[in-house]
Amino acid sequence: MPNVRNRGKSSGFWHEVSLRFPSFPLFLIVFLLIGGFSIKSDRFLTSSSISQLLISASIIAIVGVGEAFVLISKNIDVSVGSIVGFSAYFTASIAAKNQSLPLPVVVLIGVCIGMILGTVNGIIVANLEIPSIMVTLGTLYVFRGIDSMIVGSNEVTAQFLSKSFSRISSWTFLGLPGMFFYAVFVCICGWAFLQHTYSGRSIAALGSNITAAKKIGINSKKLVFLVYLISGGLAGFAGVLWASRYGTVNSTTGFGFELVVLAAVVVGGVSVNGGTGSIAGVFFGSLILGTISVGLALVNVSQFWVQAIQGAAIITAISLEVVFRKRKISGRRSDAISN
Amino acid sequence: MPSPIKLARINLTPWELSLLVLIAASLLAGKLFSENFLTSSNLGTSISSTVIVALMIVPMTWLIIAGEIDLSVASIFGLSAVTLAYALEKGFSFWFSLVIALTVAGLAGFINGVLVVKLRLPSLVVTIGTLGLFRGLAYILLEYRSFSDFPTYFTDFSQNNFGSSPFAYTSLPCAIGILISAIYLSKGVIGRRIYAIGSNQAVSLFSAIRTGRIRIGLFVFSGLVSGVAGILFAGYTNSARANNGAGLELSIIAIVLIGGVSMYGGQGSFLGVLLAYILVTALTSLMNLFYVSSSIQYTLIGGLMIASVAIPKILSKR
Repeated sequence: MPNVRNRGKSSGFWHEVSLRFPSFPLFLIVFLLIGGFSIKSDRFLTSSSISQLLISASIIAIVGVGEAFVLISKNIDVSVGSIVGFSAYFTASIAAKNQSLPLPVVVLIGVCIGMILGTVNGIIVANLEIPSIMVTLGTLYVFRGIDSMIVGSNEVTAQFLSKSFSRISSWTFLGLPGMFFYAVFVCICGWAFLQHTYSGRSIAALGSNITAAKKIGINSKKLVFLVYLISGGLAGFAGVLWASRYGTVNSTTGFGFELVVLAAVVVGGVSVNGGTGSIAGVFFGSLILGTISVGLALVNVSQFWVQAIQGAAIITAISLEVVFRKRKISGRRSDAISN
Repeated sequence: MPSPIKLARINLTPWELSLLVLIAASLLAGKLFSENFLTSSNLGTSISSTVIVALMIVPMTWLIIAGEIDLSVASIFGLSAVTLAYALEKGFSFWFSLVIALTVAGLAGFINGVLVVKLRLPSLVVTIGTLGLFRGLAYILLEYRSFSDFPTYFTDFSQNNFGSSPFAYTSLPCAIGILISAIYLSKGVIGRRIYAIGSNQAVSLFSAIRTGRIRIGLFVFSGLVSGVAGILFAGYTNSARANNGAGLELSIIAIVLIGGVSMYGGQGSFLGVLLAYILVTALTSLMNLFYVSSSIQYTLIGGLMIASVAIPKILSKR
């Protein structure tokens, strides 16, 4: 009960805000970025730019929720970019060949492809207890290699795809793109799973102290497998949305996407040391990355800056986390412990 | 554990012996299936195209033994070549540009080291971040342009061979560097301290080893060597582009792990890494002779890397 104990000596309004709504600083950053870009470019606050922003943020957020689970369990998955590309190409080519397939089946195929690839990661990391970076760095190239072996120089373009396939992502509701609602849905499910289920809490427990978690009877193998399954499945889903939204899919689709996703997740406050992180943070982190990429294009900053900014975002976010954590532990020990 | 086999005063572990067998098998396969494989020209191409990259396996081995990892090596490789090109474009002399490029590379490694050591961040996430950052900086400097206006003495040095032998000029300094560092790692003071840090950092710290300083030094070393390799490679291909060496970190880390260096730090020998380098080079050269596409080669190297970390685990579970 930190609120009760700290009443009287807490710093008042801002302290209250930071307790009840930890993602508030991120929200502020999104707000400032949007404000800044709309002053610089009068094309930024148009409905087309905003929906473009929401679409790119949504794809990042969907993959980001899976990546957040992996990071919270104190692992990492750098193969998500390849999984997105793999799923995007194969789902699109299956949909192009069988135009009559119902849409839910198409989406399910993409999710299954992602889950199969996630299973490969999960089995190796969980059963053999190999550091996840070695495994997923390997599968990053193995998945991409198999993908380009099969795809070759082929390409699925929008003309081969049925109208209904693009309807997966093109619908709007209340003027907002449908992709945004997929992302919100995934985030709500992810939040509920992480905060309110036994497995979700166990994942966080595993990330904060694996020895203690094993001692109280948490099945670490099952959970590590599970986070990779979820991460793969969500990356597969994002692949379907990618194909449906952009129409053109080849063997380089999603190349380097893991960097964007990791940036969004760590900017969203998920700890790289495992154990803590919120899905709301991932959501705002994705909005920040989406805003930056769309905004930079509109204010005529060269696209070459994007990768550097993503890398800098990762470095800044993880450094700030350390700085704040140190202050929190030394200054407000009671909060740190009760959190 | 079977006892190590003595071979001319070098102790071979079973792992190194199996690497040796694999090398022999791939050389034999090359000899059987292609008459061009063991020719001096193919050997020359293999050596001169990989010896520059081989430089980078030295710091990576040291880092992994110390329990760290550097995923940004390929980006520093690209950034240093681009910095050199950018400085030359701005009209600086070659030697001054070289100093600038190497300073940038060393600074890049220093940034990695400070973030890892001073802020106690996992090197894995830091170097993924700087992988993006340094590659991004390379793109900002040179965009999609390619620079090839290097002075001829530089390109001659990085492209030509000693007379008609298959050995490139660059292979001499590279080989000497690799040899010295291999001996120093196993016999030198810092080398032994690196093993100690990798086995148990807390104990090393209490044993009066400056763990922080050594680890920062390792990251700077890694940055500098990647910078040298990047510059030599730009000379060898006579082009500096922002995407030089993209994805190279996989091959480097794969070679170190295939060489039997423990991914938890503290264990591994340079001999194994050297054998792994020969094995991967032989396999790559074999695949190039059969026109195997680079995507398949990447798949194979990635698979080999996973296998080399999985096999000891599976064996120890028995």
